[in-house]
Amino acid sequence: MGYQRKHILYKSYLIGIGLLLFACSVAFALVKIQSSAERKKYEKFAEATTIRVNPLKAHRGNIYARDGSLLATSIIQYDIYLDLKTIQEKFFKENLSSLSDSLGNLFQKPAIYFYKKLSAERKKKNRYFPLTKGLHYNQYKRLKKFPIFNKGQIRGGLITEKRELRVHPLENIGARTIGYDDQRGKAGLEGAYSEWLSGQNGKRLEQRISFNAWKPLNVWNELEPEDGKDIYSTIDIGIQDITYNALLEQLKISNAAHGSAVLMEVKSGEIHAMVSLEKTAENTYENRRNFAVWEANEPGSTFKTMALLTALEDQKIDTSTQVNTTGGIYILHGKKVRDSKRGGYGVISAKKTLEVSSNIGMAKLIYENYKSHPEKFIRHLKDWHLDKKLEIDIPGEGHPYIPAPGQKGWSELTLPWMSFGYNLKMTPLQILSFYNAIANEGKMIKPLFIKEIRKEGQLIKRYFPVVKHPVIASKTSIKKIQDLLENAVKHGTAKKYYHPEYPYAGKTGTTQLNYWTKGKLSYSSSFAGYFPANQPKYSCIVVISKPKNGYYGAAIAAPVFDRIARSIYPRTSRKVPRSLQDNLWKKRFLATERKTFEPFTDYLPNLKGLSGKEIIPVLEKSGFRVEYQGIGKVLGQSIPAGEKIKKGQSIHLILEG
Amino acid sequence: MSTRKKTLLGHLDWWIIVMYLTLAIFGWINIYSVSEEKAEKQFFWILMSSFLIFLLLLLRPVDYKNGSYVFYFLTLLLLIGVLFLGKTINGSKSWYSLGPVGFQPAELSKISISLALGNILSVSDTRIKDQKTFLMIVGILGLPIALILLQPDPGSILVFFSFILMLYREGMSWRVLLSIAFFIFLFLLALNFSSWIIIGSLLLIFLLYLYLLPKKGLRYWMESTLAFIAVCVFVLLSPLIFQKFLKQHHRDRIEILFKNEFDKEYRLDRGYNLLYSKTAIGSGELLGKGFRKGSITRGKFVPEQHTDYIFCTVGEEWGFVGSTVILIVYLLFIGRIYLLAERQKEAFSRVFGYCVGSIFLLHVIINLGMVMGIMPTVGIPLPFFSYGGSSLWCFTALLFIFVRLNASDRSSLI
Repeated sequence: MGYQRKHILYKSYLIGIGLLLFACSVAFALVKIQSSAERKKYEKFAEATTIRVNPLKAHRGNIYARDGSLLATSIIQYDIYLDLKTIQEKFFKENLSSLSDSLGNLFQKPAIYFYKKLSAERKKKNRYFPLTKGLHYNQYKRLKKFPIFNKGQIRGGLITEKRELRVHPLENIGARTIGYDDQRGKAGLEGAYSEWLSGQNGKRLEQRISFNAWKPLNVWNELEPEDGKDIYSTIDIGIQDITYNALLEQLKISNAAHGSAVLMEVKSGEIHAMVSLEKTAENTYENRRNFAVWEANEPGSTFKTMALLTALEDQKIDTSTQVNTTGGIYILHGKKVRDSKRGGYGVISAKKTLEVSSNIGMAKLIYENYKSHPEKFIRHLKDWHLDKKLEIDIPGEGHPYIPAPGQKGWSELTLPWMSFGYNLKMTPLQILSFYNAIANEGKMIKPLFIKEIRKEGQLIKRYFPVVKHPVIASKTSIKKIQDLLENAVKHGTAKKYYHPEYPYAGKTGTTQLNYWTKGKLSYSSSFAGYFPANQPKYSCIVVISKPKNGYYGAAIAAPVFDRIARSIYPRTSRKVPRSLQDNLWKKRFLATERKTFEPFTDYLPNLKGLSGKEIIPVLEKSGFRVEYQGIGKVLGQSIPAGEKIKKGQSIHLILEG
Repeated sequence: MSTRKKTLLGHLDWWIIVMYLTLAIFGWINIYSVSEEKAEKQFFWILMSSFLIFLLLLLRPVDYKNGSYVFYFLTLLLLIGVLFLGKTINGSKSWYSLGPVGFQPAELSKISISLALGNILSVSDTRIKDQKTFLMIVGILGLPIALILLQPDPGSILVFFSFILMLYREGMSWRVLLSIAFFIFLFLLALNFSSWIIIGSLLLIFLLYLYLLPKKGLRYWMESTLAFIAVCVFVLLSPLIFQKFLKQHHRDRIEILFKNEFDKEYRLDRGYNLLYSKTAIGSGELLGKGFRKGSITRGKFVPEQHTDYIFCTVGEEWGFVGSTVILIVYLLFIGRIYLLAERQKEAFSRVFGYCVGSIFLLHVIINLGMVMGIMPTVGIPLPFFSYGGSSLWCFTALLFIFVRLNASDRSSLI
């Protein structure tokens, strides 16, 4: 017994020693963790994870039109998520019905929908249930006061995420001209002046006060955010609207792939309207790509103006110089040059050549005068900077191309074909700036998109026209070419649009796009010019690509130009008699009315792509009952186009929204 | 009745009770620092436990002894029941959910096993080395362990190692203790090295052992070889056990001990708790930041800081001095329980006392070890400190049953 007792006691002591050893190891661990070297490591980490630099987002500046109306602005939107696990069970149960009622009221849905949804999500312990996105401030203010939600994030589970949304009040009319600057990249005015608009984000040091909450570390911000500046653009909403509608209508009539129209003020170079539209899969036309800036193509007949001005300036020819256009086909180095008129124009003057847009005439005039020294011809083009980009601020400008003798691909045929606009490339905006220079007595100005940059109304920077070339040609040459262009409309290809009350000057163009391949040819129709013809105020270019109904520039692009010119004419400084002005407006409206407001009596036309706002009253006026859903353009119609209809019949339309 | 109570009160060990109150009150202060709401509830539980203490003191030692088997079987039934009726939390079914109150039968099993073991070993002339007694003890321990493994709740199993300490005191061979330590070592080894490397090196040691030891006949050879094969099988199986009974978060908790906690890969999920717990303790320095001034505690950076990680608060707000004082109180407390247990005349009281002391010891070791990163994270509470009604009640019951047994022991004349 004695031995056993002793033996057991020794075991107890062992256990006691073990206890002490453990205590020592804990004490040692404590000392180790709290010793300065170790502690600093942890402190450093804690600082690194408990202090952060929070970027303070600067507000993006607005874009304004000429008249001060908004083209682009930013609004704050609220996305609402719910942490359904954090809400206490009893509290949740007591308040769920009243919350569902409130939500149903706000979102115009039955309360039971929210009741079921929230109960189900709570069962799933969803901590990030997306309730709704894109609330406006007023709605958000209301939602914050709902039962449960009014307890905030920790007890009420309400998680709010703010989002800045860019809105363009003009929408489709000028979407791509205004552009964007986001994950898609930079485009349009938004992209071009992004540096001004975006401002400077600020910084603030914040300390973590709890797992999910941060407070500013100092009363001041490390770097104050600097809001973006406002851009006052040269876009004129009224003209933009006219241009958009004119282009859209013609695109629909000709069923073209895409088109663009740009309007520039002659003296200042300000772009008052720029529209590019392309056909979508739904047969509507949308402003997606900026063809006016981007698309460098062979200009075709609109280039004849440049070619002729070269020869006039070098005094190789005069407007009366006779040229034999033969019988409509002229064979040069084994290749045929054709004129659009069968049988040809015979012997005509240089003036007539431009009026009727004779390819043979142009080829002969230029080739015969420059074939020994083609570089003289090219020199002018380079002098006019036609081989270089305009260097406008808007991103994505297409690169022009002017060949030169000695370069790869230069042949005997290059020069004659250049004379009527092939073998070289230019963007619509570049062509426009040249026509503008002619209108501006030879002074070539870079297109201008913004007038001013302001911040809180204070002027920061003012933009002035940049002169690209002070005088592109002598006064006499300019005068001659102006006369030629006026006559081209008066007597030439676009003569059916000539009206003595609002004369304009310009040149049509028709380019074969894929002449080097076999198969069906597609065309690009264009018209470049300015108005009024005597005292030019605006220059304008219209390019319509791949029209399916017709292709001549005179038939496709000229009507757009004509409609724009007629609509804007009253704005030109040239005094138009009051009576005539009224007349003009009446005419314009009558013209549009005849086209779109034509009552449908026996059969229904294709309504797709038309604006619902315009077509529904017409249909109703014609005695049909119209039901529709959505807003915007017509995407579908219950009665197919061409179907016979009777008065009183009901038509169902599906609109975009 | 009144006279008996008076004598009983006179025989209570007031040292233990004072230390118990110290721990409970200081624990409550720290819970208050973390969360006032939780502290309010805990206050209620502490008040209610005085009622429990009163009930426990009313019963006589003989009631505990006689009731131990009934109580044990009741616990087994509860452990079986929880497998079917339990609420699944984190993939294990270990809790009964009775409205707002949760109840963990594994907690109860600590008390009932202690009582049952005391009952077995109190029969005179029983020795652990006797095969029958040993098997009974293994059975009493094994049944609840198996049931808890089915939940599965490996954290609670760890506490059962405390009974080994008692068994050692009661005469179990040191070889058993050593072999258990050896198997734990092998288990941990098998996690970090390939099984074949371990078996290869074990084979070398085994061959060396056979070569160096004097020959003792064929039987000895056979036995040694069998033992070796058993070890090898264990080494091969341990990764499987690791996979089967330990869930991913258990495995992560073990693995993180061998990793650098600052590593970006771990610090946001697996290593997060440990890192912040250490940061909190480390920032306390010598004297601490003061009551309710710990920024990491106030910021609620450490999840579960009111329960398992309550010691962070002590470290941060009371510093090295506060932590050491608490550690010393725990040592004195457990040492006092061992001392009293050793003094018991009744074997039942002694065995029970050793069980109680060892259970407290293991909880303190594992909890402090995990908070300071010297042991893997196991979600077990710090006795009397951590927030939670059921654990507080379980510890209180363990302590005061022993206090009651001790009081009778002192009042008895033998």
